[in-house]
Amino acid sequence: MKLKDKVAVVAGGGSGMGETTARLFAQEGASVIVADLNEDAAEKVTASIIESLPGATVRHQKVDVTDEGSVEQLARFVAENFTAADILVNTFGIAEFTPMLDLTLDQWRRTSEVNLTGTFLTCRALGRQMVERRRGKIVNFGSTASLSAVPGMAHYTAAKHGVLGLTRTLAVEWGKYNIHVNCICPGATTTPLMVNCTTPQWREQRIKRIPLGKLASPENQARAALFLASDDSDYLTGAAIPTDGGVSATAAGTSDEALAAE
Amino acid sequence: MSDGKLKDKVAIVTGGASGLGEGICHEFAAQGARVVIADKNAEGGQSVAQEIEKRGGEASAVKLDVTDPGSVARAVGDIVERLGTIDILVNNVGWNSLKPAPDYTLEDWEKIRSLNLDGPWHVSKAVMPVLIRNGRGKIVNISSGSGILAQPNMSAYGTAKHGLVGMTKTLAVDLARYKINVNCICPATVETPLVMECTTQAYRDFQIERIPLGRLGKVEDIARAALFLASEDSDWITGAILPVDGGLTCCAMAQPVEG
Repeated sequence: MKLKDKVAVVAGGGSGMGETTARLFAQEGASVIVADLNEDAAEKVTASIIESLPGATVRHQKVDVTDEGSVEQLARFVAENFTAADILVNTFGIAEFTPMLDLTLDQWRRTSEVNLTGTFLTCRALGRQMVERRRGKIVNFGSTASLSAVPGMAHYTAAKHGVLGLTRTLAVEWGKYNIHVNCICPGATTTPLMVNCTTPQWREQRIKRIPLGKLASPENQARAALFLASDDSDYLTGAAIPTDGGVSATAAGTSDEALAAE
Repeated sequence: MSDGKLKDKVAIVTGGASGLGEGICHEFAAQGARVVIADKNAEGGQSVAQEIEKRGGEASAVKLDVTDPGSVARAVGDIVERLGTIDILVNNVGWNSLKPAPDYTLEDWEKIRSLNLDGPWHVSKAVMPVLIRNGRGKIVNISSGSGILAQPNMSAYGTAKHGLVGMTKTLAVDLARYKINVNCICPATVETPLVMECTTQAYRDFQIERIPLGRLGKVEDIARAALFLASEDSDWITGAILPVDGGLTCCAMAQPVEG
């Protein structure tokens, strides 16, 4: 087991990639705190993990990552029940397509608050516990939108680029405390969020642009998060791992597409 | 050993007779791979293979000069004949000689380019048909922090290692249709016997001051990252450039924290 006796906070653990990550981490021996804005979802995920893994330590906690007080409360919950977090995974995020000229200031602010400010607040609150103990692993979920443009998602792309900047800066600031801060950059992944905000036609088009030729599964993302949360990545910090089937390596789609066009 | 992450996979590690490559061979063998140590130093390769077998793993050695396409073709043919297939290739061979750019000779340039860039190309080309036939495979290239950012007095090496990063991305895109993953690890200075022998403590301290995690890399740091990229855990990752460098290349200013 890769995470035996570790305490892992999975922020956004109530659904999608967060849920899969929470489950995998519990399987690998971690005590897991499933934190989510949707308390019912967090509770259900927690109950379902415990049902399939009797003896696992899994707790749920409501958190609004955009609210400083709520995030500090999550940190207190962790400190009181588990002493401190060894691992923080920020899997939460919101996204929707809106062309730039139709983007409202409210949409911009909300997207930035959840994706970027939320990451800042959780890193600061749980990172404080890690700094005190001189060890820790933070895994932020960026996106291919951390590395490249996503048309129709200026707000999301800007916020996710910000997540990578925050990741790198914390890696350098906290390196001396033996805290590793890395980021995975998922491409389109079959989560409820993605399925809700895209059409089947969009997904079909998208797949054509993915060199490996299919959408990612939440399991693909959780495996990469596990690598970054485990001792196997003890010399990685400030890294961004694209988990996107090759999308961010290419400027012009897939080999099949190009051959067809020739 | 048989239940490891690489159970029964045939893995070739170029330059596997020493240093980083040797560490990767041991890590892979411990995870159940059938390891082939491909090295110019055939005796060194044999001795690593024996050590692996002594620990209960499976390994064999083959003589291979990555700069010679004929030697590469013979070695790959021999491996396929003996083991039936190839699942994983680690292009680990690399070589460096530090000089300010004006001091490099044409011979220096050609040696550095051929070992660090031509070599991985020749071996990848030779292994490619086998992976394509299998409809799966993993290629892991060992580039360098010098493949991401410049490091002083490494113009030839840095150019070649940037080239290897480029080769990683382009092969990833072209081979994706065959479900072959091509990724790259970029280590900073690793405490291999060769590095410890060829560098001064002052030079290593100079490097350490610029590394956020405050230490040089260990062989097992790189070996574990290579394992991740060779295993099913990274099935969705291709064309990725993974710095395993203690944070060195994520901070271009190379300043000590709070400097």
